[in-house]
Parts: sequence; structure tokens; C-alpha cells
Amino acid sequence: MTENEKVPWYEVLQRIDRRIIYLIVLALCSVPFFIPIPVAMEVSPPVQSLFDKIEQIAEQNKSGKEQFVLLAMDWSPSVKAENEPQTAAIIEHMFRKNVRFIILSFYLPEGPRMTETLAEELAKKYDKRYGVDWVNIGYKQVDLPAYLSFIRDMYSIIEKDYRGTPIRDVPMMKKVGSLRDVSLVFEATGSAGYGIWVIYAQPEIRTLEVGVGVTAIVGPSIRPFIDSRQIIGMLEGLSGAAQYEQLLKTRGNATRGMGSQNLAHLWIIVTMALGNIGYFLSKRRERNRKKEVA
Amino acid sequence: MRRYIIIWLTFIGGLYYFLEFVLPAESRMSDAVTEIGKVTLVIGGCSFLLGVINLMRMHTARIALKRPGWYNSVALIVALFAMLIVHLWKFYANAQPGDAIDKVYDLLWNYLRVPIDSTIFSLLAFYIVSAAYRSFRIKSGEAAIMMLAALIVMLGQIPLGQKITLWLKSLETDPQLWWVSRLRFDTVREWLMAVWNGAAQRGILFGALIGSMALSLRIWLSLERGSFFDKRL
Amino acid sequence: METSELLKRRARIELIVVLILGTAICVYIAADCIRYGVKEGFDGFLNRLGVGIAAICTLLIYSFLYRENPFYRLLEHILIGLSVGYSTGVVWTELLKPNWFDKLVGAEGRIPNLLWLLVLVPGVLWYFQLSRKNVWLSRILIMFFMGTGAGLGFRGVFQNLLAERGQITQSFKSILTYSGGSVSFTWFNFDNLLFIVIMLCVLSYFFFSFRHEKNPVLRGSSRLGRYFLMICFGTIFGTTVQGRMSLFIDRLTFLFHDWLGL
Repeated sequence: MTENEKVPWYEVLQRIDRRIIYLIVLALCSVPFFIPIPVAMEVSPPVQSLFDKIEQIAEQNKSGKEQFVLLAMDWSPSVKAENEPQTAAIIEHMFRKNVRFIILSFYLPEGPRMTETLAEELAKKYDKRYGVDWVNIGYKQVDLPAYLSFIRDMYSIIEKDYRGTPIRDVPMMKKVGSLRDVSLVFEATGSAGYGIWVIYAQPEIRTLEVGVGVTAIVGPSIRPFIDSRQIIGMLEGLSGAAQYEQLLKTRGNATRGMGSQNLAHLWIIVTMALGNIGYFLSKRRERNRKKEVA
Repeated sequence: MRRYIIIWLTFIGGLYYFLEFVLPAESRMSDAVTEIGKVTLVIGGCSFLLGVINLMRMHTARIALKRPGWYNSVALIVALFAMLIVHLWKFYANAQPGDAIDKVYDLLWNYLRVPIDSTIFSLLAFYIVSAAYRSFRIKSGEAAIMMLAALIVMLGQIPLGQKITLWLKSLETDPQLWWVSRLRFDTVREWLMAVWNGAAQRGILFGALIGSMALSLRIWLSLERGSFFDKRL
Repeated sequence: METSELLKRRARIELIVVLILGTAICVYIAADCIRYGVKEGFDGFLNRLGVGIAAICTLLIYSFLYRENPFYRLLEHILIGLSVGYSTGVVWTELLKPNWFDKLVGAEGRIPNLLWLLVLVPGVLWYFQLSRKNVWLSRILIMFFMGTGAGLGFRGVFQNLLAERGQITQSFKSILTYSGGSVSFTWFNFDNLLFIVIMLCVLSYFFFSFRHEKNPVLRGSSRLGRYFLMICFGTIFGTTVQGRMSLFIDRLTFLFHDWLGL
């Protein structure tokens, strides 16, 4: 192409300044904050499965020995966008159904801290009390040997809760003898913290089920575990949390965020299309040029 | 001599847990798991100052030599000690919500650490748009398959995308066209994720697990080679 | 000359825009703090000041999308400092103090156990990484932990693959349904068969013990495996888009909802 030749429109399509692309992303994601966009979704089987498990625990608690849920909160501020709404939805469900839970983390100290804030906010709505309806053990730094001893005897590595109270003095923990009293572990993580529950805890305690709330990026790698029933349910990213909120008939941050997800996804599809249209037309022009020269 | 000490300690380190796993419960090898676990945990935790020392060495050198961006190193060191001191102070003072030190901790945590961390991560959203625009080109059949799968997954996971094919749901009860109702974006997405993706991921997982087992064996028996393992002692 | 004039003009425009925006933001934050201070007292004032600081940090980091700038670098360094400070403090308060120091000195009514001092002997070996001459001492500990990890790794692999709900165990799927003495092939069986075929093709793609070119079956299955892997990567890309956008939407929610109150 010579200097005087105008750049064809399909070449321009491949060279749009990235800052313009970013600006359009910003604008589109901001629109739902001002104009409501439909966000009703179909609920996927992994989300439904997790919801049903908590419903089942709630039903069993009414008639038999009480079972608890363990929230393994292995998420940090960098992935709070997805894990926080997932955790909030699960906690809200458990508060509604009077299922008591334990919060802890073996990987990240930030997780239990941020989950505690969520639990306290929701506790006000459902009139729940710390120590009676939930306990936060906090962050316990363990390596695999210490984790193995935790599976056999929870209290071998847990002496105090998050607030410094001796764990045996917490009213709720008097009903929790061991990990066998936990029916479901819900692992919220940005990466792969579910591994230790699936690989080490579940083979030892057959009645223990594992559910996960993961960032959308990790979602595909969990599928083999869902297929093998090592993991019984999954909240995959913001859409998983939004589907769970839909089952709870509530409208939280996840549902609100799906409005922006709509437009962002459509814009990415458009940019991919633009880039490829420009690419194919350029290639065709080049091929024609070569034919002319030949 | 040094090499043999390390080889034997590596072997002993792995031997206990290997035997504990393969020998029957009557061998009572599991009795010591708790105590051994606590000791290894504390030994591992003793490394907690290594990161601080390394950072201090690097950044104090930068400040002393007034290298470009030395003021960033000052900010790093100030932030490090501020957070450390406030954390320890809050712990030892047993601060309650509303106390002055708790408010300072809140400032550092909720209003600095959390927003900066989440915002830096959120820059990835722009990078993926940029990458999708600039790099995702259908140059081959494989790329076309990848693009198609990505498109179905993306449309199936957003409400607007699901709405496009939601009308097909009405055909669920039709005796002849019931299968058409399965062609909705969300259903096809779920099928792609559960069957196609799940199977491929399992294949990858097998390879990774068996590879990791081979690597574990090589490390345990000190057969591994590489710049770290072959370094002069 | 022309280019440097353009650059100077651009720099001047950028400076004016930054000054105007910066002033507007500071004025807004000040007004917001005063408003909440009057309404809710000192706590309200502090809370809004914190939100304002968080909003400024967020916007300064996003300025990186326009151009690399010193504000972004500064905030990056502050984040590293805060993270390392926090992690160090947490290791002491959550790990070393309750599991070692309290037992050593006999805190909270316990009997002091000086045997815990012995833990420092291997514990100090970590710090020999900083010495060029004696770095091999730190290797002892690193390799000991790698050995421990390797020993535990066997358990992990076997339990993941061969447990009752293990990956290999659950890969044996039914491709026919038997009911009431008859055999049928349902959609469920079709999915199972597809699953097995895809899994084997992908496995054969990573099978390097035999040459693919010489074996037509392996050649065909590994080529199919490649295509199946492309579908897998496509799904990963699709979900990655959702994941990344969620991070940004969360920050937008903070800016619009928590900061600007929209």
C-alpha cells in the first residue's frame, strides 16, 4: 500500500485504538446502573443441586440429628467480585432455613474476615446470633499433615474462634463433635482450594459432601469432579450466584451485576466479529493482489 | 556428604506419610500424625520473615542508591510496617469494633488494601476485551471450533443470550419436536460444559495427576534433575 | 519539531483534564464527608473519607488504561507493602504464637515447655537462603518439605483417581440401560459414550510413548483429541470472559453505588 492510498475500512477495523474499546466497555457496563436490563436466568443443574442439598440438610435437621455446614472461605479481595455474592447467597439460604454453619479458611486469612462482615449484615435481617447460629473459626494456617489431623480430630488444630473465645466455650460448637457432624463443605475459592476436601476429607468421611463456589475461570476444571460426584454442586462465577439468588427469590449484587454482564459479553462478541471481518477481508485483498502480480 | 544428608532427609520426610497411607490402621502409624503435623507446621511458619527481609534488602538498596522510582520503595516500606504494626497492635490490645486502632486497621484494610487489590485485578477485564479483539482470529479449523464453543458458552451464560432461544422451551412437551427444545443456548452450553468440556478436562487431569505422581516419586527418591536440584552444594 | 509541539500540547491538555477532574473529585469527597459528618457524627465522616480514598485509588489505577503513570506504580507498591505486612502479621498471630510461642512460654496458664525451642534449630535453616556460602543448609529444609509433599502426593493422587468416587472409578460409565429385561440406548447412554470417547481421544493426544504417525488409530484419535481440546479451550475462554468482567463490574458497583450513591 502506498502512502497516498487510503486505508481501507476493513484495515481500520483491525486497528481501533484500544482506549476506544475500553471506553465502550466502561460505557456499556455503566448503562444497567441507569437503565434496567432483564436479568432472569435459567438455573443450571449444578446450582440447583447445591440449593437442593441445603434444603435437604434443613429438612433432615427437623427430624434427626443436627447436621452442620462448613464454609471454607478461601477467597481474597482480588476475587471478591464473584465469591462474595456466592457466599452471601449461601449464607442467606442457611439463615432462612436455620442451618447452622462454621466459617474457616486454610489458605487465606482474608476470606473469614470478609465472610464475617457478610454474615453479620445478614444476621441482622434474620435475627441470628454469633456463637449460636454460626461460628467463625478464622484462618488456620495448616500444611497437609496438620490438615490430616484436622480431618480425624477437628479440635486438634482449633483452639479458639475468630474472636479469641476458646472454641469449646462457643455454644454452637458443643453440638459439633467432629467433622462427621458436618454434612456439606461449601468451598468458595478463586483457584483450587477444593482439592483438599475432595481428595483427603471425603474418602475418610463418606457422608461428607462438597459444594463449591468458584470464579468462572475455574468452573470448567471442576466439571470432572461434578461428573464423578466428588463435588455435588457449583456456583460458577457471578452467573452462578445470580441463579442462586433467583432460587432464593432475592435480588442481590449478583443479579444486579448480570445486567452489565449482558452488554459486556455482547460487546466482546462484536469486537471478535469486527476483528475477524477485518482479518478475512484483508486476507482476501492480499490474495487478489498476489494473483494480479502473478 | 552434604548431598547424602539432603537425600536421606528428603526420603525420610516422605517415608512417614507414604507408609502411613499404605500400611493398615493396626500399624498405628496414624497416631503420631497430629503431633508431627503441628511440628512441621511451626517449622514451615518460621520462614515468615524471609519475604520481609528480601523486600527490605531490595528496596532499601533502591532508596540508598536513589534509583528511578525510589519513592515507590519508600511507600512500600511504610505500608508494610504500617500494616504489620497496626495488625499486631490490634491483636495484642484486643481491640473491639469502634476502638481507634480498629478504625486505623479498617482504613488500611477496607479502604486501601481491598479496593487496590480488586481494582488491579479488574484491569484484566479490559485486557481480555483487547485480547479478544486483537488476537482471536479464525486462522484454522481448530480456531473456528474454539470460537464456536466460546460463542455458545458466552451466549448461554447471560440472560439476554438465553432469552434469544427461550421460546424453544415451549416445544418441550411436543411429542415430535421435543428435541428442538434442547437446542437452547443455555441447554447446549450446559451440555458442552458437562460432557465435552468435562471429558476433555478429565483427560487433562489424568495426565496431570500421573505426571505429578511421577514427579513426586522422582523428588522423593532424589532422582530429579534441573537447575535447582543440580545446584552445587 | 511538529511532533514535540503535539506532545507538549497533549501533555498540557492531559494536565488540565487531570486538574479539573481531580479538583471536582476532591470537592465532591469533601462535601460528602461534611454531609455525613453532620448527619452521623465523626464515624460517618471517617467512613465517607475512607470510601473517598478507596474511590481515588480505584480511579488512579484505572488511569493506567490510558497511559502508564507514576500514580499506578505508587499504588502497586503500596499494595505489595500492605499485603506482605498483613501476611507477616497473620503468620505470627495465627500460626506461630498459638502453636509455638504460647506453648514455649506457658501462656494462658499452661506449663512452659522449653522443648519447643528445638523447633528453632530447623526453623532458622530457612534464613540461610540469604547466605551465598551456606545456602545448602536451607536446601535441607526445602528438600525435607518437598519429600513430605511427595509422600503426601501419592495419597492425593491415589485417592483422587481410585477412591469410590474417584476419577478413574467414575469413568466407567454405562453405555446401555438395562430395565425390565430389555436393553435400550437412551440420551443418558449417548452422553456417557460421548464422554468416554472424548476422554480417550484427549488422553491419546497426550500419549507420547508411541509415535502417532506410525499408528493410524492413535493418529486419528489424537487428531480428534486436538479438536475436543479446542472445544474445551473455547469453553474456558467463554467462562474467563465472564470471570474477568465480574471483577470490573464489582468496581463499577462500588463507584456508582457506594461512592456516588446512584
